[in-house]
Amino acid sequence: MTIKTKYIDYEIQDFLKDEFFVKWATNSDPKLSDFWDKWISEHPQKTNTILEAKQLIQSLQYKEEAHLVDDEYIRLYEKILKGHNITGSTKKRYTNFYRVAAAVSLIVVSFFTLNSYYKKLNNYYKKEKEERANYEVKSAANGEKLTFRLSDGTIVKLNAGSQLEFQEVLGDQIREVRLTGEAFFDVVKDVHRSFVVKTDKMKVETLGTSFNVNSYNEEGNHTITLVTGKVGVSTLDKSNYKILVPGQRAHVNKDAEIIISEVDLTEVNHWRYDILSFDENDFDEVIVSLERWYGVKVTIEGTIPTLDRFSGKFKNESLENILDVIAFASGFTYTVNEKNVNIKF
Amino acid sequence: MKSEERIREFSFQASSEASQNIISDNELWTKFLEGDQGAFAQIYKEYVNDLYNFGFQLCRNREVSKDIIHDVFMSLRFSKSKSKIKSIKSYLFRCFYTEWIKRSKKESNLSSLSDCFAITASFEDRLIEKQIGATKIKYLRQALKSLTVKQRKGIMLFFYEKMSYDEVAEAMTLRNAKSARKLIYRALDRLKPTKTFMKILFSFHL
Repeated sequence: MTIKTKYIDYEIQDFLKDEFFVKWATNSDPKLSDFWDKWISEHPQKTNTILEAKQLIQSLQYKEEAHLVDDEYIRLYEKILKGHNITGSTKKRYTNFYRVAAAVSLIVVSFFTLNSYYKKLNNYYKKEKEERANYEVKSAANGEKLTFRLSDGTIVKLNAGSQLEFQEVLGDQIREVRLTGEAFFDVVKDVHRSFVVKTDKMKVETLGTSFNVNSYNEEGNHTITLVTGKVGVSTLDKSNYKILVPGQRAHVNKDAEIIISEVDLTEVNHWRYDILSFDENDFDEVIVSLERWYGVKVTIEGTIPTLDRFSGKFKNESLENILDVIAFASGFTYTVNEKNVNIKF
Repeated sequence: MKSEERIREFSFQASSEASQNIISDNELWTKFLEGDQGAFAQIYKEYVNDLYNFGFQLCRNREVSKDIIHDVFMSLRFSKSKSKIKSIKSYLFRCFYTEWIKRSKKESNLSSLSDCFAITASFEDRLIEKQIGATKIKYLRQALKSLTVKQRKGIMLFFYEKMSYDEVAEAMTLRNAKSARKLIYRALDRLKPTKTFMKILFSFHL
């Protein structure tokens, strides 16, 4: 008896018992549809039986379902990673892991924004801030960096042209801060309060150990790079959620999808060590970086070469030295007048 | 400083997405056994929600469910005896179940079994209901209530959780696929409308 003839005398009950049929009816194996679509077309007298069996299978539901909400999902994972024990009976086996996990507690988050975007957001935050009490805002203007502590002891280093909004006393359920621009966080570990960084595009939540995030914003695309430990990344509307492992970068695209890729970790984090770096950036991006880094205003005359890409690292270089290099590469002349730079092509 | 245009970002995305989608249950488990950190996270990501819902059906208590899931993943992480499994999902379900049994023995106040795995039959649109027939559906709903907890569990693992007989056996700690078959066949026989019963129900409807 071949598989095709086997089913000819089947009734509903027989189909319901058949693994091969159920796999198809529950859509768990798309490869099976070829077989069943063909079989149905060859045995039209069985169509009703098959459809009814399929519908019966799909109709079965639990009376009440339970789902983990975002927060529970993350917290549970965090707890698992930390080996925080409830039962006690298994405690001994996990202490080693717990020690390892607790030893690392460094978190870096950095975000880049284009200047215009940043201004728009600034207004947005100002508006929203008025509605919420006890919020504090720290910002680093272009050309400067700022380091300070939050109420839980977490150290924050803001990059130029960035802003952090946080509660004077961080929440007792969740420590949440809002970031525009780029920043470095050295987060004090707290098993019972996860640390959350929000931008206008996404939310980064620690899952225990440590992580280093570096994000870059172009047309509102935020990118996050994880160096060590684990973080959860989600879109603001919570429609998407991903857990990152070291060496991965996530970015949220226009359709609010989180796309993960692998990156070279040595490239992350230059700014913290006063290294200005470019990696395949176009001319506009380079100018925005220079404006932010040196706190200058750049005006451009002539046509900007749109296809040029710039890569390079500068440690403690003067603005003039960098401009010399770029001017040589792109073929422009420039003048610097106090905080104003004029570029002529 | 000047260099050619390159789309590095793009090539990274392509490769990592492909590897994420194609990876099978088997490969994921092998990676996990080899000590891959990412694989553990992936397992959590993929199965924790199913496990949580399953656990809730079993113990009817959200907090207890989370507690047990915690323990299951903890021992998954640290246990040295990683035996051969039928599938990750059925293995996790099994671990949850055995942990639950352990706890119920210790604490007698944990919920009684009778209201576990409550099932209903819901049809998305009226047309389907009409096609199958109101009487039949009414019978089905009645019959679902008459199943034992074990039968309800088996039915849901097979049809709703999309497990094979092999996997059902693993999840329910049954001896083998044959025992799972037996259990589900019995349940299905109960759900099958008998002719006399249909006649009675039908006359009531008139």
